[in-house]
Amino acid sequence: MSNQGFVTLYPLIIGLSVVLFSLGAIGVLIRRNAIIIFMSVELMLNAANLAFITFARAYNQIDGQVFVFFVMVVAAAEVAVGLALIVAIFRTKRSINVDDINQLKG
Amino acid sequence: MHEVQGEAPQIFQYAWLIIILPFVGVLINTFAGSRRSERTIGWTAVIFSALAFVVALIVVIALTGLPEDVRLHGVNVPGYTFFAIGNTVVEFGLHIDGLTAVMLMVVTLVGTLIHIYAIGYMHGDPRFQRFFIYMNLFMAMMLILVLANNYLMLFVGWEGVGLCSFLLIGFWFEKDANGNAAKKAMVANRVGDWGVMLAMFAMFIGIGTLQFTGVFEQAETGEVAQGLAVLITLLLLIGVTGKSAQIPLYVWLPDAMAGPTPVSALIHAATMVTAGVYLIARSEPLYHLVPEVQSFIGVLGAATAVFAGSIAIAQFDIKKVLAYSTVSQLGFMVAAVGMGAVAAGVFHLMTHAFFKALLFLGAGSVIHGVEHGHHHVAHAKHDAAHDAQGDDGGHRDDHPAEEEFDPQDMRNMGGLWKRMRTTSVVYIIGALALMGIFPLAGFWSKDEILYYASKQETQLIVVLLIVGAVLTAFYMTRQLIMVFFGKSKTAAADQASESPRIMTVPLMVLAFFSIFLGFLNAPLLGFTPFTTWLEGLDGHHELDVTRALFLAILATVLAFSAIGVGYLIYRPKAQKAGVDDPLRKASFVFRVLNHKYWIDELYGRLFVRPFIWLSNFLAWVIDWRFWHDWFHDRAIRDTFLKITDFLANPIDKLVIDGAVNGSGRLVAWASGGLRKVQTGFVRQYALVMLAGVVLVVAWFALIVMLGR
Repeated sequence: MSNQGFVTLYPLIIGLSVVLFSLGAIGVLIRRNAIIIFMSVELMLNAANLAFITFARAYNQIDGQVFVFFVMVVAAAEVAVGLALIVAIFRTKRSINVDDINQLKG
Repeated sequence: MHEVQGEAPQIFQYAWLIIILPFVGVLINTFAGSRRSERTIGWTAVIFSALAFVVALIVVIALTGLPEDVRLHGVNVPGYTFFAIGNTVVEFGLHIDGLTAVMLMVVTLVGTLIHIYAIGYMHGDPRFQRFFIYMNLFMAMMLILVLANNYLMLFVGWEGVGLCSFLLIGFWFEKDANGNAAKKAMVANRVGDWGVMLAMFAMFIGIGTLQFTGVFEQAETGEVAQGLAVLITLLLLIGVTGKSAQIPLYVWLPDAMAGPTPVSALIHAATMVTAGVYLIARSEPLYHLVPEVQSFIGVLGAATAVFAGSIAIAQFDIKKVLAYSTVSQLGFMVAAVGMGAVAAGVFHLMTHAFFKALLFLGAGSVIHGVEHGHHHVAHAKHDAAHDAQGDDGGHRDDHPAEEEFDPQDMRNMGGLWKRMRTTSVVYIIGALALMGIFPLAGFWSKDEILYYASKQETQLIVVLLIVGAVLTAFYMTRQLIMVFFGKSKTAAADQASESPRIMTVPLMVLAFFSIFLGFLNAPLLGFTPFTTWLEGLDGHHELDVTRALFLAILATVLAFSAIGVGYLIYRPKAQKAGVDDPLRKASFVFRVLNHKYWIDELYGRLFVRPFIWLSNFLAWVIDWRFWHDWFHDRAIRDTFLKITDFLANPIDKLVIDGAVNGSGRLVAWASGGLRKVQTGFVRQYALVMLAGVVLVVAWFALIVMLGR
């Protein structure tokens, strides 16, 4: 397989990854809906995945791609646990606003 | 010294039984006696006392079979080593010689008779069992005393008999006077015992042994320095004046009559009080070294004989008269053994033990009879008013109203000859023996002492002793007339009844000995087995027959004159109504004698009162005010409080508590600040996390750039 055609695109792809990650981070920081925050976290994870794949391709090493699979598995597990938590919280508090979830404050 | 092994027969080993048997009696009556009847308890005590007598008799018979020098020097029965300090070894064992044999016979025979008598006398007493335990214990202790082969073991017995004496004088301790008499005896004897202990210390240091054999061997070979001998003999003499009631420590003996009469007879007439005489006789080799001390003791004893004899004239208590008589007779014995006439002194000791025990027991029988008479009268009166009150047993359980009556007061007696024939006869025999009337026991023994006294350089002793003998005859005449003759002075005496057989039979046995015992040593008849027994054939000095005969006749004539004078003064016809004693006419002398020369009061002033003052001072000032109030409360308690106060308040409360509470408060304060960090805003946490990540990344970036 020929890598030559994509070489010039690498900086762009990394830049896309940075943009996506930043969007995710901003979303985590500014949104209050727990599900949206979750989605933003997923966005950040996938931005990282994109960066992994890009570097794996650029340096012609397989480790990055392997890592992506791990991240995807962990993300899937995390979503399962996280959504379950959100559902449980919603059932007791009738809200998924993270600012309402402050009972452990000092 | 002859050991038992080899020369002397093994039978002497059994002499230990003489001490052990009364102890067995003590144990049996102590542990098995409380539910037994009076009969069982009394006869148990008698049997063990009698068994001791039998064993003693066998030992004495065995001693007879030995050669003379063995008998004089004594058989040593080894026992065990009590202790050894350096080269000084104290071996507890038995020393059996002629003197021991005499003492053994006196103690066990008289003791057994008095035990039998006491069964009758103590009948109905609530502490009957205890009485016989004490009596057997006394026997054991007295036998330790006479069988000891060293001064320490002798002292064990010496103290043991003192203890029993104390316990038995205060036997009826419900009455204060009896307890006080017991204390007085204890204290007076303590002064004497102190002398004996010092004497033992002196022997221990100066001679290096306490064994009789060792001490006497050194004394005979002249290894004991003159000064040391004077010291030891004088210190022993202090003990003798205590135990044998000589001037100046005799005061306890008359008061000791507070005890039951069998006790007075056994302990305070026949045996214990002769321990002092025995001690001097035993230590004769030491006294032999110091003639000055010997004549001093002679004068002391003779002076006691006269002094106590004169007091006896003016007493009204039947037992007090006998008590002073005992002091007086002990004076005779001490004078004799002091002068070195051991055989004469010990002979008088033996005869006196029998006839004085007889007199005391006779007096007990009289008291017993008068008390019964008194009960009889009182009950007759009582029955008129109340129902017949059942006799609750003891003759001492008097009704309160009857306490006024003193059954021991001779002024309440008189005419008992008609009521108590047996007692009267034996009592008169005892009195005649005591007066020294030929041919009764007292005549021979007293004459022997007078004979030796007359051979002394100073005639003072013999004159004093003759005066003492005359006084004896006088006060005994007075007593006999007051008690047995004339008319009954009270209804109680009129109703007196003879004592039971168990009391009169021992009296008769003692009377028998009082009559015939004197013939054991009758130098005028040329028959002196007793002197031979104690001093050997060499011990005999040429008898000065003229002198002996002269003294015997003089003493007898004087005694009869005294009896005559006594009869003239006290004969019933001469008595006037309302006058208790005709001698009151000689008012001052009688007052002096009646008050016993005020010696008790003098001692009270001289010793007792300063002593009480000192005890009060020690108790209130030294102990209470200084020791308790000042030293304990002020010095120790207050100092302690101050130290603990300092430790509690500044140290504990400020420093220790401050450190602990301070660190707690610090943590609380710090955590109070830090907990505000946990705001509960999830997004804030996320922001902080992001900032952290940024920082870490920046850090890496910096390192990478600088690394390049």
